[in-house]
Amino acid sequence: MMLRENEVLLLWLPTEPIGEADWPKLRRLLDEAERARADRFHFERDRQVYTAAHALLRGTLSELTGRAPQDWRFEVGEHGKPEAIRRPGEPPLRVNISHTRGLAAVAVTLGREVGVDVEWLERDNAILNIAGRYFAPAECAYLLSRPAAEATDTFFAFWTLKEAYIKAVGKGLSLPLDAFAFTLDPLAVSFVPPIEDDPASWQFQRFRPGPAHVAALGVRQPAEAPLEVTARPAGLDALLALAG
Amino acid sequence: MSLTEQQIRTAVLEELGNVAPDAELDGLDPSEDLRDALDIDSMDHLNLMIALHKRLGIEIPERDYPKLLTVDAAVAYLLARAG
Repeated sequence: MMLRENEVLLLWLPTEPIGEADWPKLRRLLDEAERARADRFHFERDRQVYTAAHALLRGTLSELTGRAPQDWRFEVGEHGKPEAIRRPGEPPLRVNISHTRGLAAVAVTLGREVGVDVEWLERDNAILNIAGRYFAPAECAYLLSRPAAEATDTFFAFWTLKEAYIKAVGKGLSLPLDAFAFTLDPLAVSFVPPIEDDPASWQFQRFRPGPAHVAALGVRQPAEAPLEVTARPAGLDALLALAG
Repeated sequence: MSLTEQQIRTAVLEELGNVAPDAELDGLDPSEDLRDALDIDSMDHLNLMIALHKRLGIEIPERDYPKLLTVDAAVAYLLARAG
């Protein structure tokens, strides 16, 4: 697998088709700390989707470089965002992962800030509470203007886009969610203080990996031309083959 | 009347149980990061912040959210601002 300079790769992995015999193999792609971390989850499904996300991350890095999945180490950058530690001669891969009930995803670029968020549409959630308290006024107004049947999809469109941006810049919970606002049609972002950022330097895209899941990708793009996005389901067989 | 530490702890655990109804709170280590222990994500955490504000009447500015990532830390933060 190759990644071009002007390309962003987004792969998603649903957990439902992963069989009982596959899980120990995916687990073998993780390092020791991740296996211990996986074991601390109270619920099997949480353990599985965590394992899927990290196996997908490591497997993808390995397919792009040839280095063994378990060998990858990550360091926390200046804003607390994990980045893969590269060895001399390896491409400057930057990654981000996300997981939700039933789905894991990884985004990879060459040297660009990238964030991905996936969400399960059926999660219990008081969407109007979250939107009313945290979204930008224009996002709330748009959400309230939509027919009730579209409210959940619209909310998660905004939510995944906002998470993708927050994750791309690596600032987590401390970034005010109402200091940047998306429009969905056309898809665009705008910023207000205290966030100082340039909308023209960002590229966002929404995806529907399955009937119950949505995803959003955010990447800081070069000024000259948009990046090419390659988005597809991950190859489970290829990941399992890496486990030997 | 000001809130006691026990009242705040009870509120944190009950509201945590509401935002993460599947979670097994009995074995929860109060000093462990909730995101690690219970797979609490950003949206769950925002729901928890809303619920605690509503129940206890304590303002929690967004910039302080990273200070409420464990049960113990949340209790200490809220206690310092209670009553």
